[in-house]
Amino acid sequence: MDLIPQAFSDAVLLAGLYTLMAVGLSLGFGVIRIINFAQGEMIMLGAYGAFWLFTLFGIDPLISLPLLVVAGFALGWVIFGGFVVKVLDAPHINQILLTFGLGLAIQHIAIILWTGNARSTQPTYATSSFLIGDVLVVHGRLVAFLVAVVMVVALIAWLRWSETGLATRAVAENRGAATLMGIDVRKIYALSFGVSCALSVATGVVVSFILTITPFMGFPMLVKAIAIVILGGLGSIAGTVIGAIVLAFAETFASYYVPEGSGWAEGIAFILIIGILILSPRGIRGQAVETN
Amino acid sequence: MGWRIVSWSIWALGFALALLIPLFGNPMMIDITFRICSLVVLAVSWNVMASAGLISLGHSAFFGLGAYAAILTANLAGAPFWLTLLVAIGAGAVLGSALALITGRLRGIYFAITTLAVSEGLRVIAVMLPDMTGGAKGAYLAAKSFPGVTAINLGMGVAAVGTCLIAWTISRSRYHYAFRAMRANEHASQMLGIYPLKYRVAITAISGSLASLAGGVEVWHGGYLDPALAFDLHITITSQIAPILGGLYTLSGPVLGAIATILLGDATRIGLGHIQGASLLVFGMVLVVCVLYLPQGIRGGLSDVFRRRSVTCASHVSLAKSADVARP
Amino acid sequence: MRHRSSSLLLAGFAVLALGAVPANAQDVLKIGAPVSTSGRYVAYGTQAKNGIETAVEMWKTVRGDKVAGRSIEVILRDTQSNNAITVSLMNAYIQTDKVDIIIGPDGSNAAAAAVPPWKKLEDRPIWLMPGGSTDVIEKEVGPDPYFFHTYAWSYYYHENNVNALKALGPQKKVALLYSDGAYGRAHIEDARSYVKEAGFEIVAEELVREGSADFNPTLAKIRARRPDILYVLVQTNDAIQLTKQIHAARLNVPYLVGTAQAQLREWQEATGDSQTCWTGVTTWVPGLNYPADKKEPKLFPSALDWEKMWFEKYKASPDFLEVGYYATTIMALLAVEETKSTNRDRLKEWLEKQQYQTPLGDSKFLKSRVALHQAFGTMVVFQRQKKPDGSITSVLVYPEQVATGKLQPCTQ
Repeated sequence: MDLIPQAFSDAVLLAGLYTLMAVGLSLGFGVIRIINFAQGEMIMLGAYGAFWLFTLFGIDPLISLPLLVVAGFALGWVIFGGFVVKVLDAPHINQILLTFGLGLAIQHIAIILWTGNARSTQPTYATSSFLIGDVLVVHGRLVAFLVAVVMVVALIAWLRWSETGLATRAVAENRGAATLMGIDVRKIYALSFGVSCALSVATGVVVSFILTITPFMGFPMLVKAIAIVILGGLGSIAGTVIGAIVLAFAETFASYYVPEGSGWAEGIAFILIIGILILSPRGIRGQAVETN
Repeated sequence: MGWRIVSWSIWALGFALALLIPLFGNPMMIDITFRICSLVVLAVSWNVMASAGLISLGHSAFFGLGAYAAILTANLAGAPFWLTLLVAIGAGAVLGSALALITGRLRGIYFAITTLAVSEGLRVIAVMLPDMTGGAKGAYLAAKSFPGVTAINLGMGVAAVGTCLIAWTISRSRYHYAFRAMRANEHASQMLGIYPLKYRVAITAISGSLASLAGGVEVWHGGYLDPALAFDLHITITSQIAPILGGLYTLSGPVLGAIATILLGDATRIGLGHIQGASLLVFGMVLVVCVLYLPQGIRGGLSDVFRRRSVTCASHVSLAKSADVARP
Repeated sequence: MRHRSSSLLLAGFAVLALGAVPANAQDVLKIGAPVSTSGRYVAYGTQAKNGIETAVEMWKTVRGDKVAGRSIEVILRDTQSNNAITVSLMNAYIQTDKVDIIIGPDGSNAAAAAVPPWKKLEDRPIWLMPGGSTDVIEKEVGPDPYFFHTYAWSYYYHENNVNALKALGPQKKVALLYSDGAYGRAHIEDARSYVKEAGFEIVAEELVREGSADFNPTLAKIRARRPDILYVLVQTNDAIQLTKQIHAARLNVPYLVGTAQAQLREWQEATGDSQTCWTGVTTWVPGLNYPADKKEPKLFPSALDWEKMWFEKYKASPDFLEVGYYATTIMALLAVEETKSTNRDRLKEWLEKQQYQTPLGDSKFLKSRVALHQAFGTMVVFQRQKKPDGSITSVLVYPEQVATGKLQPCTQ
């Protein structure tokens, strides 16, 4: 059908969004070996931050983005120092439950502060669109895509070329050796956690004009991020990008071409998780995952 | 030992209450006993999995599956109460085994993630098959024969008692050592000749079937089921909070924790109900506080109070290092 | 040592469990009100609570602290948007607290879960339900004499919506879009049958996933069929995103028909300009010109006066559930006052005979498809239209008696 160009365009834009959503989780796991189950709530906080700045002060989400990203980093640093650092050496169960509990608490604090009502920001580019040939592109989604690209490229650049970035990669590869090289591992952990939260907050800001903002929006996004990270392989940024592309395309094309596909599309994430685990647990580019 | 006798009598008293209150209690006590028994089944089942190093982040998957198995066999096949529960148990065992087989020899974190995914996935399936499950609108139980409210309440009491006995049996069996080893270090235990996969499957089948049993009885009690209810995150959360609050890896811990969780939930609902979102906020905070400061739960806290503190370096004992003897 | 501590704790709990005996008091009217003040339905639960509390306050101002010589005790309990807890609450209300009247719950799923525990008891109390719209509930309750529904069943939405659309002329092409959640699934069959009955042609019927990140695939498919009317059945959260995406996608469909979301402040604030030309159907909308009741002008003032009163108190316009709960609670109090009793058969008879002009409309109970007592089933259809000064308001377009304007096609 001649809906293919449109489907392709939709899938690409969605992939950008998904990448941004998942890359924070991937960084956290790659470096600290912790899955942050409160990641979804970080996204939610970013969205609310953008919403309130827009509603109360009329600040466009793109302009509030840098400010909120910095705030997200600070929040991540504080959460790490206040909570996560205490379970670094504890069994997985503690880590999982700690971040799970934090996420639950943050979610309900949001409800108490801001009620369960749904919100959305409405910068003009959110709903304006333009046509390339027969393909309709919505400005809002394009903007989200561009922001995602910029941030992911910045992240990769940081990891590849900056000193702290290199230190982070060293810690991710071999913590013991990194310590021997004089790297302050705790600080790198805090840094990585901060960056991963900052990325989630950025996702939230971008999502504030695309999706509906509610205190409950974080959890489904966390599940998708997990699916993407597993698909791409835990601990690999490049893998996450690939994973995001695969999920976005699978969901979009299912919605277009499978009857009632939209309904099943959300189930694709789960099928992917299970399928990958059966076939190739490392994912596309991940680290070893057999029992430690 | 004198205390052993006291301990056994307390357990016996607890079991007696679980079985007698549905028959002779007043409505309020029956209701609270039902809810406590339900959570005991879920909490003990979660604890059994955790004791083997398997963290379930989607216990609601088993619960929901059991509930749907029960309601479908009752509505579509006209099966009686006890038979639907058998089907529920079977379904849970199958799901548990499947999960263990899929995650094979992967790290615990993968099991956790898979349970999360399965829970959501089952919910999507339930919604997308409305002709069979009633879909998002939900379905009412339309059983050919209704066993009576007392039988259902008693059923949950029996389930709770049975679950505790099963957990106790496992802890007393020689497999218990295999599970402890798996929890501590799977790789090493493999080198000792213990095959984790076989034990993983056994544990998840047992644990899953118990959680499904709870779901099956609940659907007879409530009479109504929809996907959001069946696979509610709330179930997953309370299944975890109860054993952690009460004391992980012990026998009485999940039971104590279940009672405490129900009471805590009621207290916040009544006391803070006018503040939106307060009750679940409290649960979240409880999780965080327990993980950080009370790793052995209520049980451990009390033990510390009664026992003279021996001179050890670590006053914060991490869960993995806690004494691994099966404690009643 | 270890045995001791756990034993003591278990013993303690055992003692507690055997304790509590509820106190019994005469001369009190007990109203059980299960409301969802936490969890998913927290938005509805808050409205329910506000409605009930304001009603009781108003009663006390107008008629004094008592009703038929009894003091008023409203037992509000949080369902936590959890069905198991709702079941528990219903059991407690009926068997332990022995309430005289139950008002609630909000949210169709909680309402559905509440039916079995109520229905299976011989001495169940009068139950007024200002919420819950799915036909599953109606079928399960059946023609029960003690059940009074004060909210619209889902098919009323579509009956009225389609009637309003008939004014556009025959043979229009309709595309139906519904979500796979409770809302969409509950409504699609009725919507479909009323649309067909009206002689419209259904050119597309598309399912979307609740909470989906992108509705564009579905919109692309719909655009290809060129419908005259897009009839949308989704929950509020999806509606917000969908509305904005429909606007951005330049669908060029002349008529955009929604159900409940168009009246919600939430939706209006979140969608901004994208909301223009959407229609909605509801029991109540601000600016509805219902008159005050002749017998009880203070308890049931005119809709506009009541709105003013609410605005002064809460600094916001009322939402439809708040109106419904207010009216229902006043009706319950009047029932007890006028019959001077809490006997359920006397209350039932009185409720069946009563008729007031409330801010929500006529309170007379009529039969619905299955159930015996349905009030407030007449609904109004309105459209969000842009005024010359740029603001967007709801213009009533159906029925003719209350219409303040006409249905306009969308201009993109």
